[in-house]
Amino acid sequence: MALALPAAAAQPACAPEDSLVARLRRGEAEALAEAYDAYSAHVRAFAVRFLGDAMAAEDVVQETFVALGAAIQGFTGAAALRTFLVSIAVNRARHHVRAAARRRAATARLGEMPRAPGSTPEDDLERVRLSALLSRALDRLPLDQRIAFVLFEVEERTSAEVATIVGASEVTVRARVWHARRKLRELLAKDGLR
Amino acid sequence: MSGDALERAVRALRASGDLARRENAETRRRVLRAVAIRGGRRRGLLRWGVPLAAALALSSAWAALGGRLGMSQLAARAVVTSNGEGQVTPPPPAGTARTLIVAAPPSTPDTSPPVVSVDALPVATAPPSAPGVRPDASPVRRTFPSARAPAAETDDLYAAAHRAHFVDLDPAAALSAWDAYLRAAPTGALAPEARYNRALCLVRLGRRDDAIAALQPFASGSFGGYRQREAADLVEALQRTR
Repeated sequence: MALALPAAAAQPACAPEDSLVARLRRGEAEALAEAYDAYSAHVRAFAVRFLGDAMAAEDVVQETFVALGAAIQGFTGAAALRTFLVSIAVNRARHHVRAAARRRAATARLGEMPRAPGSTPEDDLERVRLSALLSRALDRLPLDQRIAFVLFEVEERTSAEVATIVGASEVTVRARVWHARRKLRELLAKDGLR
Repeated sequence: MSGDALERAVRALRASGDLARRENAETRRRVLRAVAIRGGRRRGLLRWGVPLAAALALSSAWAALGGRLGMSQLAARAVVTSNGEGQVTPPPPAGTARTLIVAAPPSTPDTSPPVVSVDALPVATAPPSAPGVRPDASPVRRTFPSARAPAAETDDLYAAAHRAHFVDLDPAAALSAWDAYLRAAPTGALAPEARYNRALCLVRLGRRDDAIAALQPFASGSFGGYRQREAADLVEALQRTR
């Protein structure tokens, strides 16, 4: 099935991207390598924000690009390739949510917090603490609300783009974000974050 | 609860994504290797699948013109297309008996084609998919049994294990499934993931010593940086709680 694209979210694809898509459709390995180099960071950032787990995010990156070869046949070009890749990543990440949540819960039970990479000055520690708290709260949201919240609030995408990625209307996306925001505030308050 | 706390947490999570943007060479290598293997399989399917589909279309037209099939039978026949991935477009809704004519090669036009029931073909499990993404993105595919390459079988084994592990959350079934995948593809493109996930199943099943043994190669860097830190943490935790 091709991406359903609301008119407002349409982004004209530039010529180099058209060429890349054509080469991906022909199954050129070099094209996949180019797509990976151009967009993997973008996909990885989304996966980390969505799952709150760097290792699971790496699996999502891998699965997304492995799936791209087949999925690109249904790409209409109405949305940016980057947006299309995120829609694949959303689909893949759904399978990792529960496992990541279990790992997070186990870590919390042991009273450990995830370690910040490299040296850990205070602001890094605070960032790690806050993002871990939010990830734990996100674990308790319905999946659709979680996806909408991460794409709209954390990734700062437009509601039109989120609607494209999740295949829902903009009104639905905004409603999901509103409910998510309300629940997250309650959950963070219970965790003592004020 | 003030909105500021949520905003601060959102900013922190956003920043964690920014920090994670750095390249992971190991993932890139695995992606390209996995796709190279699939590409080889696809070329094989193109070689055989496209002529087969063309022969089927010719055979149908020939049969219709020759009066061997009525138009109602033609309408009820399963529609088979090949997109180079060996995928079969689902036939129209059931209600009439459906048959799939497997045509003889063009070089032997006089041979009567054997008739195979469409219902006898393997049925693909519909993967959960996000709206807007073709189901083709899933590694689970519906293929002709005769065109089924070993790589497709190992893909299916991997998909089954992945489902048992991440969707069904059944560590015993997942362990068996990962073992089945690794027996079929001990050096497959996804073998490191399968081995690591197998180790996680051992942890969940309480087989502590087996789990430590399975995690040690990851912790010691035998798989490059893949899961190294996480495996080391798990080994340490398992040893601490002996």
